[in-house]
Order: sequence, then C-alpha cells, then structure tokens
Amino acid sequence: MKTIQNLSITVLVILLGFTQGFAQMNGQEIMEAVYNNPSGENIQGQLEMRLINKQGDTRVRELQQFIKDEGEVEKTIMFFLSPADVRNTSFMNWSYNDGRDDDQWIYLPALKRVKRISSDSKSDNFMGSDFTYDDLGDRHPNEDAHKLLGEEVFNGYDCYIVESVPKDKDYMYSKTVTWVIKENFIGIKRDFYDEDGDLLKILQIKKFEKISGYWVILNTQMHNVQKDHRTEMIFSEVELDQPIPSNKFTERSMTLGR
Amino acid sequence: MWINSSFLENFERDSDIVLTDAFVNQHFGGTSSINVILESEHKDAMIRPEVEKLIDEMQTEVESLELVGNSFSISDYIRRMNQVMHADDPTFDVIPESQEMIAQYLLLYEMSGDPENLWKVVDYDYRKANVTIQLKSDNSKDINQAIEILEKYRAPFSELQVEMNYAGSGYKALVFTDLILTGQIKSLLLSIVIIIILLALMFRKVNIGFIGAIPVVLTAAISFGVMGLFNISLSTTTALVSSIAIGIGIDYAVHFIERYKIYALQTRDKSLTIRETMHHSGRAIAFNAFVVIMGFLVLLFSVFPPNRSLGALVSFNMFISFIATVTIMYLVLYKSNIFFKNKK
Repeated sequence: MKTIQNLSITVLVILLGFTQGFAQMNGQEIMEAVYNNPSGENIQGQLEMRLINKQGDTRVRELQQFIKDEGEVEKTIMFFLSPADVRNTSFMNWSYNDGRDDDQWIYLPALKRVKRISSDSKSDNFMGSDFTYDDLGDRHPNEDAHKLLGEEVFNGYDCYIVESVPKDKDYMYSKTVTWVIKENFIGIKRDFYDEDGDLLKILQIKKFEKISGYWVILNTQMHNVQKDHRTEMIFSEVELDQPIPSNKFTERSMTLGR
Repeated sequence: MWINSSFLENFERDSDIVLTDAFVNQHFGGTSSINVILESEHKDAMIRPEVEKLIDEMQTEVESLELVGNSFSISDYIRRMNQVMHADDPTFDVIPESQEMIAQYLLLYEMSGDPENLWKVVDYDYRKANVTIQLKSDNSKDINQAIEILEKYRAPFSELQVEMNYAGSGYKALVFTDLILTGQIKSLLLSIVIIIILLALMFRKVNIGFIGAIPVVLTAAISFGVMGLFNISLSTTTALVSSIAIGIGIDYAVHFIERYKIYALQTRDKSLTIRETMHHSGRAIAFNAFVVIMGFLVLLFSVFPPNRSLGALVSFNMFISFIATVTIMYLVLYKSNIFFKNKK
C-alpha cells in the first residue's frame, strides 16, 4: 500500500535537479520526476473518507492512520474513529517492495479477534472506495510508455499533460492521462481509461500544502464517471517524520486502539 | 371463480416454455419473485439485530412453503459471515446480538469483497433492505399463499418503525390480477347500469330498461358460473369475454324490442305483434348469432390456449344471449303489456 502514502499522505518534493528553465522534458522524464519525489519515512494523521453514490447519499468514515517505511516493507495501520458502530476497528497492511502480495489484517472489536484478509488483486477497491490499491500506490514509470501531449493551464497551474499507456496489455486501464504541475511535479489531475478505451475515472487533487518541507496532498477526489460514484479523501493533522515505533504495526497493537 | 394472471399457464403443458420453466424451477430457486422492500426513516435501521432477526424469521417461515425455492437478503450475508468468522461453526449461523458486530461484518465485507453486491440487498445508509423471495410458480393462488405469510410480519416490522412494501415479477402479476378483478366487476356493473338508463331513455319507458338488460345479466351470470364450474380462471384474455358478450347481447335486445314496439303500434294486437316480431327479428337474431358463434369458434383451432378458451366462451355467451333474448326476455315483454297499456 504504497498508496496511502501517495494518496493519503503522499509527499511530493520538488526535485532539485529540475528547474523551470531546464530544456523541454519528455513524457518519461516528467513522470520520473513525479515518481522520484521522496516521501517522508513516517507519516501520521487523520483521514476522512467520504463515499458518495449516484443518488447523492454520503457515507463518512474517519480514520487515524500511521505509515512507516522500513525499506523492504511499508507498513500502514488505520483505526476507525467513526461511525460509532465500527469505532476501534483497525486495519493493517504490509506492502513489500519485491512485488509479493500485500499482507493484510483486520481487527473487529465486537469479535475481539484479528483476522487476516486476502488481498488478491491490486485492482480491488480500497475499502469500498473508488480507489483501487494500485491507484493509491506509486506505479513505477517504467511500467508505462509515456508521451507528452502538450501543456495547459489547469486550475491556475501551468501543467504538462502526459499520456501513459501500460506496457502490460492486460492491465486494468488502457491508458491514463495526467496533468502535472510544472513547478513542483505534483500530478493534479488524472483521467483513467478502461479496457475499452472509455473514460472510467477522474482523479483530482483539490488541496495540497507544504508541511515540514514536503508537499502534502490534503484533499483528493476520485470520480467514477461510469457508475457516477465518488470518493473524497480529506487528510488533516498530518505529521511527517515523527518517529513511530515499530511495534505500532503488530496484531497486538491493532487490538489496543490508537 | 378465481383469477389467475399466470403468464405460463397461457401455454400448452408440453410446450417448450413450460417445460423449461419447470426444469428451472425444479433445479434452481424459482423463476418468479416477490421482493419485500423494507424501509425505515432511521439511518442504520436495517442493521439493528431486532430487524435482522425479524427478516431472518420471515424468510425461514416463507421458505417452508413448497412453492418458495429460495430467499435472499442482508441477513443471509450476516449469518454467513458470523459463521465463517467463528471457524465455520454451524451454531453461529445466526444473527449476532449486537449492532456493532453487524456493522463490523459489513465493513469487513466491503473491505475484502465487492461492495456492489451489498447494494443489491441494502441501501447506502442501511435505511432500506430488499428481501428477494424466489417462487417456483407464477400462479396467483400460490403467490397469494406467500403474501399471506409475509403479511403476518407487517405489524412486528411496524413496531420497529419499519415499513413493508412489495415488488418483483410475482407481485406484479398479483397486482395485475387485482386490477383485472376489480376492473372487471366495476365495468360489468357500470355497463349494466348504463344499458338500463340508455334503453329507458331510448324507449322512454323505465321498464324497458330493465327488460332489455335481462339477456345481458343472464349471460354474465351464466358465463361466470360456467367458468367457475369448469375451473376456468379469469385472466386478461377470458376477462374480455363478458365485455364482448354484453356488447353483442344488448344488440339482440335492442333489435328485438324496437321491432316489438313498431309492430305493437302498428297492429295494436298483442299476439300478432309477438308473432311478427319473432318472425322477423327472431330470425335475424338467430342468423346473426349463428354467424358470430361460428366466427368465434374458429379460435378453437388456435395454438395459443387462451385464444381457444376465448373462442369457446364467446360462442357460448352468444348462444346464451340469443336464447335469453328470444325466450325469457320475450316472455317478460309479453307479460308486461308494455306498449299496450293505453289500449286496455
């Protein structure tokens, strides 16, 4: 779950090597610049997840989350704060760098038991949201062929528009198109196209801020245009690089609540 | 006399569609369905253990009917998950006692499964639930049997501030049935009243209105009686019969009475009038009835069974209508001394 990192507490840093005056970059270079933004090692904060269906019904979940990058493995633990009947339910994810499937656990306080759950697919949706696990993670730029489509002012930012076509033809998207802000290499908007080449989802970054020297995304929205279902993720009280003990990410810790 | 809006019973017993339906019903849950839609004003109402348990109870009871193949609802998810989370121990195949447990199971389901499935049985904020009951028959009598059981749960649900409504293909058929019945009875009564009024106005005599309605009333009564006797159900096709019969039956009466009046005023002789009327009008009516009956009997060769019953019933009704006109109405007309009163 590299993502939560990307998504939730994705931290994007302006790369020193690239400056505005630099010669015209190509699509590959732009996406590498986005990917190579280092992130903080320890991230914690609150996540409010709003799921909105076609009828406009909204479900809100609040979580406290902790993320720690231990090199080989990135560990995430989340505790539900609301709704009240799922309070203290916790979810833990270990994501491995070597491409192994993630390990996932869930603790249900009513059952007083930790259960391992299987994460068979990167294309599964994260917690019933419109984000797949893969949408949340950092996809390596070498997995796609990139092409710079042009430049555009989007929401007041000078952006590159880059089209990325996966080299793996069986991937869940046939292509994505990303709007990347020129000055800080934050991807501010991304269109996802399904296997038939039709527009499936639109990701937009609504708010980002510089915290502890990093660019942090504070509000991001995914709109599945085919189902007309939306997920909004709002991050608050974000703290970066504060030490989190390793034993925070254990089954025992899951049962203790935050 | 019973009503049936079964679609399948319109077909031959050995036709492909009936055989296929029977096969599916034998091996699967059922081909028609009733959906019980539960609705509350309160958020999370459907995940309260009391409500879940009541849903479960209702399903168990309705499934005891032979015609119910299967039923499916949110409580099936909950029971299944409760068992699986307890090492598949069958004693946990029940609704848990706490709402927290139910909510957490559903959260788990959403996180690991495909939540889209969940939205088929419950809505986004757990205000509404959809209980699907699969039936092995689309026969109105059978569906009513299931509804009868479901209705017992209306009061207990409303105590929990949950409202109950129906939908589904089976229920649609049932509503259809009610519409046929009430529509049929209403239109029948209305047309008789209108006939009486129109006849009375036409001939400027109230009595004529009632006499003219005799064949129609008799035809309707005998027709429904025969349908009851031979266990022919009232369906969209057979419901047309009485309307057609009234339409044609009144024709005979008007024709006959009009002739009778003309002769009565001409001859001023009752027995002569009656003879002449029978001679002219009676014969014309007999020919007409014969031709129309033959016309409708052609339907007996139809491959679609409802058309055959339509043909038979209309022919039969025409016959009754004809007989009623030339016998009973004729006698009543004769006895009533109408058109001869002033002469007496």
